[in-house]
Amino acid sequence: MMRLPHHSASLRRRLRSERAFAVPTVLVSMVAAFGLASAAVVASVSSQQGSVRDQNTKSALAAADAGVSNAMLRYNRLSTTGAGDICAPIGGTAANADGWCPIQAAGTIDRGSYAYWVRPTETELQVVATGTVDGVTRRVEVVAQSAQSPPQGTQPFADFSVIGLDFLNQESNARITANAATNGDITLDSNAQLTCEPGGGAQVGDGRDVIEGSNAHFNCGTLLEGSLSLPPVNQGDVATVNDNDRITMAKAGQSGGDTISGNKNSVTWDPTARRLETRANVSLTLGGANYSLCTLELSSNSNLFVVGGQAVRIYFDSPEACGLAPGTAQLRMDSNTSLEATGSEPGDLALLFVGSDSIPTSIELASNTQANGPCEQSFVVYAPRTDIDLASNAHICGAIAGKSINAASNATVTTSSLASEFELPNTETQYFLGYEPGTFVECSATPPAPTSAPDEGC
Amino acid sequence: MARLVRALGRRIADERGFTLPELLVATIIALMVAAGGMLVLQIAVRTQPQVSERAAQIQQGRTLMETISRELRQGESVEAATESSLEVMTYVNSSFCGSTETGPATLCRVTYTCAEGSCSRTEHGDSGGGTTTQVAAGLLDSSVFSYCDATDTGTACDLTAASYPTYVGLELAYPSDDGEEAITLADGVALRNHFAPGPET
Repeated sequence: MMRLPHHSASLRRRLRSERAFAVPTVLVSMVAAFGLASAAVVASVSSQQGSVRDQNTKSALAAADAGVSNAMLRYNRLSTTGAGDICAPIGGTAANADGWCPIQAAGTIDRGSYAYWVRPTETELQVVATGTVDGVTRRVEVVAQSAQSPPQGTQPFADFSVIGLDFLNQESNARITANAATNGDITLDSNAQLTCEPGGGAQVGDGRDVIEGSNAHFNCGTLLEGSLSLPPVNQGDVATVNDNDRITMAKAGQSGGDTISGNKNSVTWDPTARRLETRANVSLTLGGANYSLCTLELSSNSNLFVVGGQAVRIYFDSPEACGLAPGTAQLRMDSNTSLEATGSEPGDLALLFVGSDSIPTSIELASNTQANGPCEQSFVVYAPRTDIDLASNAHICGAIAGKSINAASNATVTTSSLASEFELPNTETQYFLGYEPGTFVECSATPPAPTSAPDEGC
Repeated sequence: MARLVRALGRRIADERGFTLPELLVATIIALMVAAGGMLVLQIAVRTQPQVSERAAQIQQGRTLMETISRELRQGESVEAATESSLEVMTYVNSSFCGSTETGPATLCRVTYTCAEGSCSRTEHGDSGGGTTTQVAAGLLDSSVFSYCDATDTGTACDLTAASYPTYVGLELAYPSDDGEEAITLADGVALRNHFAPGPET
């Protein structure tokens, strides 16, 4: 309050003075110059925004590419075996109904980020990835193709008709006329003969060989080396949902089931234990599609036939499920018995053994048995975890695959060219590795709505 | 209040004010500032249309660069290649080739042709023909395209279509009025969907 009169007086003096306006003039000039400079800076920044946006666009594309690469790396390193874990490589399980994995994988790279969705199929991997850098987003779609050939197992006899995973032994005049393969050695002894098909060959395990004994004949030209793997039998729900009742009906003499020719008492059938025996000249003709057995025994001139035109799969359940002792022969044929699919189409009779890694089981064919039809048909025995013994004039025409194969005493195996077309039923879908980028498409940058397919706008 | 009125009356009656030198200096400064401002304004008014047009051309060139880059990036093969024209099989987001309606990616034949400072784009329909639209104008040179093999960095960018180029270089040059300070936009794109049978051996 004391200084106010002094300020007031100073202001009055200032107003009364005649001094000039140099300082205000300079200030106004500076403001004007600053305004012009600011306008120039704004114009420059505005023109540079386009360049920055272009740069961010390229960076966003690179980030999206990183997402695609991440997806392919995961699927090339982490294989899947079927629909149940098809999304496992990116941390999910099963896919949605439209095939897209519900999981959205994401990550960061440099100053950007990416997210991607995948839709894997047996042969393709569809990836839609977005990349975002400084608010600029780009979205791309890449459909990667598998570089691998179809997996072995779907058609297990495509290359070889006789497969013994551990070894293949032939002795005592045993003759195999087929392309044969094993992960172990092929042993030929005592007049045994292995003759491959024209243009075909034989394969042993890496570092293994063909061991030829006295008078053995190996007629396969160049010996191949490699490793084999056979998928296990997937019997699905056949153990409980099957046509076993047809045998029960036949045994009971009811119509609508299978048929027994001969004395029905010569057929022993335990539907609970799933044990079937035929003997004494009786013939059982199967007309169902899927049977589930624990053991099958044919003896004394008995026969098991298949209705013409009917595709029959006989599944032999695992020894654990059947309560079998180690070493049990789940299929035993001897004394002039036969198992034939005469009149059926190629590949229509298959004996599929689930087997076990812990309880050994076997297949024994001996004493003039025949598991065949005319060789223009395909008859297959597929038992990747079961040992197969062929002896005493046993004859198979078709294709066989077992944990091991031992053929002796004039046993013969003759291949059927049609066996190569046999497809293992219920084989779990084999998803391929070796995806390589295929079609590249840049999508609209705006990600689709959560309810839409990820590839919308691509 | 009465005092304030009396003080204002005295101030108005007072004949004191600016001196003559002050007024002269102030007037000169004001004239100089006004003259400078007018000069700047005149220059700005005169060059604004040219600057705007140039900015629009550059923006158009930038858009063209992005469009061509995108189409080339998802291209499969270069069907015809000269410095001033390019024909490429590529994916476009049209409901069908030649359509203006947006749709899923469709493999179409697209031609870019540059002549007399402008470039046009033609998306050929399934049955031939196609709509041509101008995509760039005001170019200094119609030599826009160059072709390389992306897998062989040692290859000069002068390949022809018969050599299955996998990389296309782009260069859009815009002139200035006096022929100086031309602005050039340059980029290059590898064909991501490239497939081409190699020369038979």
